[in-house]
Amino acid sequence: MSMSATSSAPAFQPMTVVWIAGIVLAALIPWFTGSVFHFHIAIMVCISAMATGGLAVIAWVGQLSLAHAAFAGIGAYTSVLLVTRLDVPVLLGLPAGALVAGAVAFIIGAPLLRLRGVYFVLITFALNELFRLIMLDIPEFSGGSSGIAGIPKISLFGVTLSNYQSVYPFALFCLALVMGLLVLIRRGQLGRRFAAVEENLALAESSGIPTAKTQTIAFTIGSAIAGFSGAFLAHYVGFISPETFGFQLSVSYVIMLVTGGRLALWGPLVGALFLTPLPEFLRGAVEYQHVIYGVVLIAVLRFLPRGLAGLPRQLSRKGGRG
Amino acid sequence: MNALLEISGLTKRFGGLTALSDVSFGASEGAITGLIGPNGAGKTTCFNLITGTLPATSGTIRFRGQDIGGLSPHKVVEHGLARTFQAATTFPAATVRENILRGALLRHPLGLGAMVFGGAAARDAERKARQTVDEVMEALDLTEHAHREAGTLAYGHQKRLGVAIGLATRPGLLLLDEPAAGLNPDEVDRFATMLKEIRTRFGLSVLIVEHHMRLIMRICDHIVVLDHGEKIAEGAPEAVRDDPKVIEAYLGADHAK
Repeated sequence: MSMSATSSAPAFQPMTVVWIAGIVLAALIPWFTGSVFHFHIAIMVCISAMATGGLAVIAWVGQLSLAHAAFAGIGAYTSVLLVTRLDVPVLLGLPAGALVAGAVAFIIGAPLLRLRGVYFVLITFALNELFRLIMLDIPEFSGGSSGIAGIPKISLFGVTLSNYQSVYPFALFCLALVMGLLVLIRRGQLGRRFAAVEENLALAESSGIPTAKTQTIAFTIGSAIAGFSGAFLAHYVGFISPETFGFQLSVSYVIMLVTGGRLALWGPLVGALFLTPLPEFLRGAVEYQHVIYGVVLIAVLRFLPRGLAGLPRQLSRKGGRG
Repeated sequence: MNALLEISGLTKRFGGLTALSDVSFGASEGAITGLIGPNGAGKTTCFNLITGTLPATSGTIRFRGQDIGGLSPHKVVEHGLARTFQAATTFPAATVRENILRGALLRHPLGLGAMVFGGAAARDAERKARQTVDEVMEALDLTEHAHREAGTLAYGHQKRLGVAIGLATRPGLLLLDEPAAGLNPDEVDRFATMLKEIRTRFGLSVLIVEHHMRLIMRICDHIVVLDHGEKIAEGAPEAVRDDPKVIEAYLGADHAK
């Protein structure tokens, strides 16, 4: 018994401290340089990291969703329509986007999650296309292929965040909330259930874990986070169309997650931090974004099976052996 | 008969194939019941039906007098029926302690809020579950491996860990699917001793599927023999061993080779 109190992993391992320090430094870069371009990229990193964080929650129960962009789209359209048509404040539109995306995921989750592995990937891929086609088909709501422009900016209690420098702290705050939620889930009993389901579904079920319900919870939380990030994106960029939330965006999130580390807590953040700025900084390479992502993905799968977040551990293990 | 588990008329058809046909038997409180038979006799199918992994075509399964047919596996475990798997089945990336804890937490359910945000209820549940874990680890001689990743354990230890996870759910009846398969003779002997110990210590009843005849004859109080999906014999170990139908089912198959 005396062992049990100290036996669990320490709350903060040295590596975690290094990660946090690195991420905090990276977050401060725009303020050091003062460049508007850097602020923009930093905001996009925050949005991608939130979306990828949502995808990570789903990955923690062993499922890979290719409908993640569609849920971001559901959140985006929910918030935009509420704000533009019903004059709801943006600050309420953002959580409403999360709520609706989560509700849709909850409803379709139960039948969907009966499929596993590649079948789940395929059905979610089809769902993402279905979302795009439906939205194109109802232009009175979605704006059709020309989309909706002039979306109101985010405003907090009457103060409109009109420039990059003022959006960025709010983006950081939202990202911190999302990551905080991820940390809570991961360290709590729910995270333990997620891990059990991911590692061995049959054994989890026969150890008394309701695996179908557990997967639905993960899918709902993850998709709600996607909805939130989509709503944030819509009010930040000011323009959305069904094409914004196409299949390619889903693939980008998957690549960010896998590059960062599929099962690592900091994986989504690291992946978004590495991949969002990459095409932007390689001047004139923006149109080659998917080529760059593809090459990075292949390299990661070949050399870093645990993703970038697993790199220190991989290095220390090699060092230990040698 | 004071039956803990009562199975009657249990049938399972896969399309045209009848894997299990009108099988009835019981497992008594406190006893070790053996379920034996040649390969393909329907033993594992029978396990899968009892634990809710597969739906039965017809027949009833009663546990402590309650009908548990048609329940999903995690509900069956809640009723006090835990199982182990034929292969060494663990949570490979987690430590031994964590593996067992995941089973033990069944008896300390929490709401979704407490599962995410923690709090006193969550801490209390985990503390109580850890007591069970320590007890189970000690009984199955796994304490020295507590902090090792399950995937890195030797095969025999992984199989024992599988039993530990089941035991941690505090079952009334533990279903063991070929626990001795792949173990060397020493390990089989140790396993037999250990099983008798945990039966007494945890007030368990056991239903065991096993090919290892010496083990079955040594530990079982009661044996049920299946062949081609049908029950061909049932009784005390000595009676079953001398039953001509059982000898034919086993040796007849051997001669046919």
